Amino acid sequence: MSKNKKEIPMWAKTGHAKPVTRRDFLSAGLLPFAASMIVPNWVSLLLGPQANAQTAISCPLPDSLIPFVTVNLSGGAAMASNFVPMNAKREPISSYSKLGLGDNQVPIEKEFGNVPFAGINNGVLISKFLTGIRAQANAATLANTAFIAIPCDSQNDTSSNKFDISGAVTRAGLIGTNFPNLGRVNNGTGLKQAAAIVAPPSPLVVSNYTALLTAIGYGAALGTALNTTQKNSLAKLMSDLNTSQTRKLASIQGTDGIKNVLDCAGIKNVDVVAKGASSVDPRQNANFSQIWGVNTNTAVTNRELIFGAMVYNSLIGQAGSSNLDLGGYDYHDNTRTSGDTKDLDAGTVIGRILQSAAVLQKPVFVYVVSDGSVFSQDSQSRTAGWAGDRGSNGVAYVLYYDPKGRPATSDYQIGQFNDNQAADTSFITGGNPELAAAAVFANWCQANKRNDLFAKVAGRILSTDQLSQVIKVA
Amino acid sequence: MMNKYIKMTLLFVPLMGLAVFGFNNCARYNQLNDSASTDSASLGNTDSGSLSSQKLGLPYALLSAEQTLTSMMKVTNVTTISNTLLSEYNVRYGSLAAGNDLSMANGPLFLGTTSLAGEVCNNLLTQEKGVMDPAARNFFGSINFASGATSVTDTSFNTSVRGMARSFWGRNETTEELALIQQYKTDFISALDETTRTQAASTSNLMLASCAAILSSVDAISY
Repeated sequence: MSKNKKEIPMWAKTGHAKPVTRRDFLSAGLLPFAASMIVPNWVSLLLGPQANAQTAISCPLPDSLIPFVTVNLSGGAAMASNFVPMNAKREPISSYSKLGLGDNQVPIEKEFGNVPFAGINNGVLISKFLTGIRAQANAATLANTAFIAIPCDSQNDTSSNKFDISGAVTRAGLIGTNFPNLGRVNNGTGLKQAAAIVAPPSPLVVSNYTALLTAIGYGAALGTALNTTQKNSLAKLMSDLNTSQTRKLASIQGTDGIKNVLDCAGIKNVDVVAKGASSVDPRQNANFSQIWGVNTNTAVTNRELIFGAMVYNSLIGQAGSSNLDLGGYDYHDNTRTSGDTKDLDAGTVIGRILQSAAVLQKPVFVYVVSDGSVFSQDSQSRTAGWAGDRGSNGVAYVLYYDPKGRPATSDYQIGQFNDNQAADTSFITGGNPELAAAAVFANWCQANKRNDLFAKVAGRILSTDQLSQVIKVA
Repeated sequence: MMNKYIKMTLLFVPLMGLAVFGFNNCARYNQLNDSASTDSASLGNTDSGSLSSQKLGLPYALLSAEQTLTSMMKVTNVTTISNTLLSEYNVRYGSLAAGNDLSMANGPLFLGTTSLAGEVCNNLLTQEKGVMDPAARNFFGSINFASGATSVTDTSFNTSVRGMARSFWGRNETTEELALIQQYKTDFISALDETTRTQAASTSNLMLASCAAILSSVDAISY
């Protein structure tokens, strides 16, 4: 290129005058990048956080995802002695003598399609868990329910096993319209299990039914001093005040999410207060009330009212996931009596959850976990008493009800038991509660036909190959 | 002329860099660490996720349930926990924050906090109305509790709001906040019939709600 050509300015080539103003520079193509990068920052600097004031608040909307209920049997339940765990070939292991079921000729009772449960011995169904479910959920409901067991070694008598996936399902989009995720225990997860994959948002702890009821309104002095319109106006005032006061967060980079959480909580409350208490009361539905055996006279501390209300609100989408906690499962007292009573109770609760979903015509994923398990003295008796803790034969359950019909599954068990009468820890989920929990989450994502959610929430906690081994929901 | 063009470019490019990196608070407060590397005990991301205010190094935190009640009583000078206050605290305990992470806030927490604040304010009103000399009252000296809410002038209402803002928020209320609270006063009175709005109880109820709102807003329950 000659020097002369170099000296011909760009603006001269285009026939325009020499650029002087910002507009000239923009038209000359020099500053468009700078304009897009710098101007918004200068606007913020000049106007401060007020510059964001007009930004519409984007509150997360509940996604159309399958309701999720976790039932924790706190103390180490004999879950491997209700469902009968099989080996890798889905054949009986060599013996069940430490599992209180005797030799390997355990009578089998099939339910949920082809799932083996401890069957009839001397005219009595051994699995009290199944007995409880059958007592509450009718045949049509059971016919529309799939069951998957996950053998998993877990620690005994502790709340530190990472079984809880309420955080994962919440992060995936299972958000209640009026309530957050619900729990029974006043800790980070709402039940006596630690969070797997991701910690849940602070659960609303439903210590009694009143806690749920009062959570959607103003009580005490405000409850009596204000009329309905004034309460609605107060909710609006709180929402507006908080939006105004959280604006300072906008000036701190990376806090948009927190500002949104705070703002949306206030916005949602305006709607919640306006709806009133009746919207959360399961007793509005007679069929539902009948399942749980509750009525208007039921005490607010009644467990069935509390569980029923939690399940009701989760099923109809007003709450996120529900975490139910049942205590008393550290029942090794050298008898079978205490354990059978508690297993029956667990089955009763789970049967009620399934039947509730059937009444409301909603699908539901029920995830049953415990901390460790129990063993019997090595015995050929199928009614041997529980002698002590044995986490190595732990099992978790998933029950998936769909009103449209039984969900198709490729298997009833993830992983396997070995001839030591324990979960096979060589399998992905056999020795790690968090991976077992991740497998449950993967199946829930699959049930929703949203496998993208697994990657989004859990990342690579399970590889593609591992996912193909643990996903049993078709 | 091309040289001038190049000079201008050389001048603006560093300026752009200064503006972009100098005013964007890059990596401020040790935020946005890689989630996988921050939690070695977990196979996944089991901390509170990207919204954790602690993880973000946010210089604001939420008062826990116990701190909320203590703070409310302290800033209002209410010294006795009445049975109704204790009862409301127990009922709402599960909804109030279990920790200090601002991202733990949810709808029931705000409703619970406002309800609890209402009970604290109810105690405060009882306490202050018991002081015969209005000038000796801390928060409601400008309010005539013997007449109805319609007689509460903007001036006297604003004076009371100012006192509460200074004590509960540690600062004066902003123009925007005052406008919101004044609008609530208007809405509150509009929601009463002609007779009720002239009754003394309406004034007490108005101040109860206003006090509860100020005592339970974000600035009162965070630090």
